[in-house]
Amino acid sequence: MKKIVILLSLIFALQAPVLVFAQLEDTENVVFNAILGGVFNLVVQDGELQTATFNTADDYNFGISESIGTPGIDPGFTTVAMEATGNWYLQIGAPDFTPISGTGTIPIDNLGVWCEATGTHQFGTEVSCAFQTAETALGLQNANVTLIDLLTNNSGGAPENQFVLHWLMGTMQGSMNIESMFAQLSAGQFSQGTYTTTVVLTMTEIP
Amino acid sequence: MKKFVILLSLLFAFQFAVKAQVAIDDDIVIFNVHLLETFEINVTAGGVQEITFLGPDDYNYGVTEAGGIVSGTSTVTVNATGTWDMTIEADDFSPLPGFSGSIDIDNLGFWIESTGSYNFGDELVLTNGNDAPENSLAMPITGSDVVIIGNGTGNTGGEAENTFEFHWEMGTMRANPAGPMNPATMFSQLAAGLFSLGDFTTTATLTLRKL
Repeated sequence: MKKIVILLSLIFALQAPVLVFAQLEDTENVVFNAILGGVFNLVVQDGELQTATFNTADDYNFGISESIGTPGIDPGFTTVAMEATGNWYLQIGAPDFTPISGTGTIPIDNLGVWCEATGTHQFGTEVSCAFQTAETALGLQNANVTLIDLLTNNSGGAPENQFVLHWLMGTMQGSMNIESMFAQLSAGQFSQGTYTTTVVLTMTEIP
Repeated sequence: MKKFVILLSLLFAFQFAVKAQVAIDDDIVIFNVHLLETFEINVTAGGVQEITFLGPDDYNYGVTEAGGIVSGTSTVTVNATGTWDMTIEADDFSPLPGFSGSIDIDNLGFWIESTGSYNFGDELVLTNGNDAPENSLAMPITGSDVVIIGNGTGNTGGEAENTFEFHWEMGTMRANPAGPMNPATMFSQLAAGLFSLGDFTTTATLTLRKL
């Protein structure tokens, strides 16, 4: 019995300091898992609807734009922005113009576009574009054509990736149709009337 | 075990498929084009012609762009979104102050050359056959409504297609049956007292008509 009492005394004596130390410091963890999902968002900020009017002989002979012709193309430009968590490239394509009134179709390469970088990402630095002036405009095609491409790193939001697309029609510049609208009209490609098409801009992630 | 292997295989296949997908987003811009009607005629060069009778040959045989008329030619363009024809007319030459009489307008003649991509006999009709100096047509008098260029197989087009060079003559007495120039020399008309020496003027009007 005496032995048992001694043993119990020793056990309590040992446990007491241990308990005191355990209450002096404690730790617990909160785990934060940040999930950065991929975002690739193309936004047409303005100029989603364009109206091109051929009203005079000069319009038919030399083409129209936001600054050529009265009224020319209204508004004549479209602002787009890309919000992307990774690198990307932008393509453009459209079907030929089809008549609402009138006959025939207007080949889509009569519509041209050139680009201006208005965000902090600039052509020649983060992005590239082969169509930076009216003189080097891209004549649209039915199939997609790359309009803006990756150069170094173009991930970013609208402040970085904002571009103005300037539209031309019938100006025969760059890779646009080399014949005047008048020549095509007189060749019977299309008649007077109203025509429409929908241009599709496609942003694609570069993995 | 077999089920486990199949499950793993499907899992890998699914993951591969997910990883292979590339993010794509698109947006649109709508274009509406209005092709409106336009019919324009322009004299782009040679809007003023100076005709000078100086020597007896001028009075006896007339003057042309080769001598006596400066510049002797006028360039006319047509821009038309539909088919068209053209007329021309002018009053008799009237004297400037200090001179007397009038010069009959049929002393003035012209022939036409198509310098655009459209040709007479194809897209265009040269109504009176005045395609060379010897076929010059007398200038129609005001109100005669003479068509000088008509529609052939389709003359819709701009100035690239529809550009014309008008070549002017005066006192050359060409005998185009569709409109002969005055058969009398300027000398004989002067001698007959129809007009005196001096300065005279007239204005020819070209009219483009939509068909």
